Amino acid sequence: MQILACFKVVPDLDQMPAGDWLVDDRFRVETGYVKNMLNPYDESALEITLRYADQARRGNLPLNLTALTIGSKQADTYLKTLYALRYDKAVRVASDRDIRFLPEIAAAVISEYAAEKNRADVLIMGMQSGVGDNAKTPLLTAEYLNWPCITGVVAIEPANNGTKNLLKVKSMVDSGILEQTVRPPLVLAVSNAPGTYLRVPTLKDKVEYGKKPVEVQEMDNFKTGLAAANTSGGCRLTGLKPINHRREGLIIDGETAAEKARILYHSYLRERLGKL
Amino acid sequence: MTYALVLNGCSKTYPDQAKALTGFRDAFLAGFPQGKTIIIFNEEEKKQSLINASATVLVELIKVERYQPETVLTALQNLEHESCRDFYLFPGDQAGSELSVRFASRMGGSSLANIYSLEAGAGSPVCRRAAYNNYLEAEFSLDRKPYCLSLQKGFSAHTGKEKPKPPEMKVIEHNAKELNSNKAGTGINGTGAPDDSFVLDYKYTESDETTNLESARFILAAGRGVKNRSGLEKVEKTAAAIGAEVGVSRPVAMNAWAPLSKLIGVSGHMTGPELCITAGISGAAAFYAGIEKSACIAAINTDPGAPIIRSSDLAIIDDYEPVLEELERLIMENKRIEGEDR
Ligand SMILES: Cc1cc2nc3c(=O)[nH]c(=O)nc-3n(C[C@H](O)[C@H](O)[C@H](O)COP(=O)(O)OP(=O)(O)OC[C@H]3O[C@@H](n4cnc5c(N)ncnc54)[C@H](O)[C@@H]3O)c2cc1C
Ligand SMILES: Nc1ncnc2c1ncn2[C@@H]1O[C@H](COP(=O)(O)O)[C@@H](O)[C@H]1O
Repeated sequence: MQILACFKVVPDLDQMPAGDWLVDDRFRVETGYVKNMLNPYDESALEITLRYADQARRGNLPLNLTALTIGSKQADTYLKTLYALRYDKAVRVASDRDIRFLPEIAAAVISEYAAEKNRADVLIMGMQSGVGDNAKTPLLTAEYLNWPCITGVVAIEPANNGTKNLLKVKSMVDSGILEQTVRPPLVLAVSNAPGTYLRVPTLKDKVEYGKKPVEVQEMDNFKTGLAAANTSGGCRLTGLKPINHRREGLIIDGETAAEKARILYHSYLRERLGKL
Repeated sequence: MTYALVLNGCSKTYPDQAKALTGFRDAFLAGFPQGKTIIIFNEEEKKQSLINASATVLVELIKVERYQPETVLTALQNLEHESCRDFYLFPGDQAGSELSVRFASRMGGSSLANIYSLEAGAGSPVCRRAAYNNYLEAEFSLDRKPYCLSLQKGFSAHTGKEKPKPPEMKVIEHNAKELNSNKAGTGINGTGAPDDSFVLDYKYTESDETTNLESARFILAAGRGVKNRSGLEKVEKTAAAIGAEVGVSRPVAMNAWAPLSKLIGVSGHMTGPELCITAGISGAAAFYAGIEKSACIAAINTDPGAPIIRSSDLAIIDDYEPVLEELERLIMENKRIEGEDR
């Protein structure tokens, strides 16, 4: 099974001070000074892939894992970590284009890579990523490739003891779990998948595998993909501004926690609760 | 300008979908000529109640064996390719969002997921949705028909007025199998769109977890500050005693201290209680969007700099545990006194 996992490195926007949301005339926002992180859904996708790999290796099934990101050099530390976690190949498509709100371009590059360079059976990615929050890339990728897509994925494992390259895919649908045996190729999209924080590589694996150079490809080499992207899309960003979440924020003071609770209750909550 | 509302009648959330899409239509497409409603459904017995919830006179039903995105997409495509509408509106859940994007791609139109407003006039339509993890609002202009839009999760319009029901509905029935029979697997125009044959077998297990978060009037929300599963269990006990519904932030659900069905926020439940008490929650925008409609928010957090403090009506800067203990004691005492009075 050839699996291609796509992820994006994003700024940890929860660390942005409230007053620092300044948007310039090209709708850019300076987020460079907060720490970056793996987009949470992508982190889950990467871990779900590793869990599949654990099972495939135990069953001696053929397996090749590639991790791909489109972005700047800051992604390289994550790509190295993925090498240490036993991804076979870590690829970065270098680009300085502003594709925050152009999921068509990410999808075109990813689908071209999957079809022509990687020959992936399965593409796994997050359902949505900051900063654009487009929630479109995996869906568009599936459409560009004419592959089916499963959303809300929480786990994958080899099916039928790994014969015929089949997969068992668990996904959240409405309020239940759908378990399907499927035949690749297909695109899997991950959103909330409890208990799938990315594991940490062992020191030994870091030394043994984590030093491989990241493969860097230029975005300009994805001509067909980009041409496709130019004819699709149809959404132009025309505005960007902070959302105001401010309320009164009245701080209740007291000597002890219990006293504060009493003031909160007697002065504010009792009446409100009485009306419920 | 013409429009179609697309509803998933195979889902338990159908009534909410219908309400949200009707509200959106009334708020932003009121001046448009009658649109139509397309309902995907699988159970014959439910057909009439599905039709009754429709907001338009014209209803087109597509019967499927089960809700399967590839089948539904091809059926929609085959149904609409000859007389394509200008707007297609989809519900604000995973399925709606998926359909809007993939359907637009197949029809050569533009799509946006998670929108909460639309200005449709003479020129290009303009839509708004959140970006930057809910810290910013982004505005987009759409250039290509059909415009396929899915609503923000939990969207509800406050148009106030109940529209009278249209007197008589015109219902047209289709079957996905028939719609797709000539074209299955190839889509229209020989696009090679996939059908459902990649699924060899499937099993659906309904979760036995239930929550009433969306309709709850009193919510106690717990965050990473509760530190572990036993911390959360204590909060759950308190909530049960004081009559609050428990909700949690993403780290609590991700650590599996509570089931995902308790998650509040853009990727969980969008709530609107009379009172929401948050304990050990920092107030990230992706969470806050889920409690924004609360009439009153009271936050308990040890950090005076936590964003939730500025975004709450009332705040206590302290350890949540003794605060909740005292609140529970006071509420229980009050309940007892009220019980004696009665
Ligand atoms: C695409 C995407 C979707 C997301 N969707 C959601 C969503 O739907 N819902 C959601 O919740 N998050 C969501 N998030 C995550 C969100 O950005 C935050 O990471 C998350 O809400 C933080 O949860 P928290 O407040 O519990 O944890 P933290 O941010 O870690 O905050 C913990 C707080 O507890 C306080 N604290 C610690 N100890 C105590 C104590 N003893 N007493 C009182 N206070 C204490 C701390 O001061 C701190 O403020 C999403 C993120 C992304 C990228
Ligand atoms: N620049 C990128 N590089 C790699 N994968 C991406 C990139 N942008 C988006 N993706 C993938 O597409 C998913 C959805 O992103 P989006 O459509 O932008 O919300 C993400 O969770 C990633 O898995």
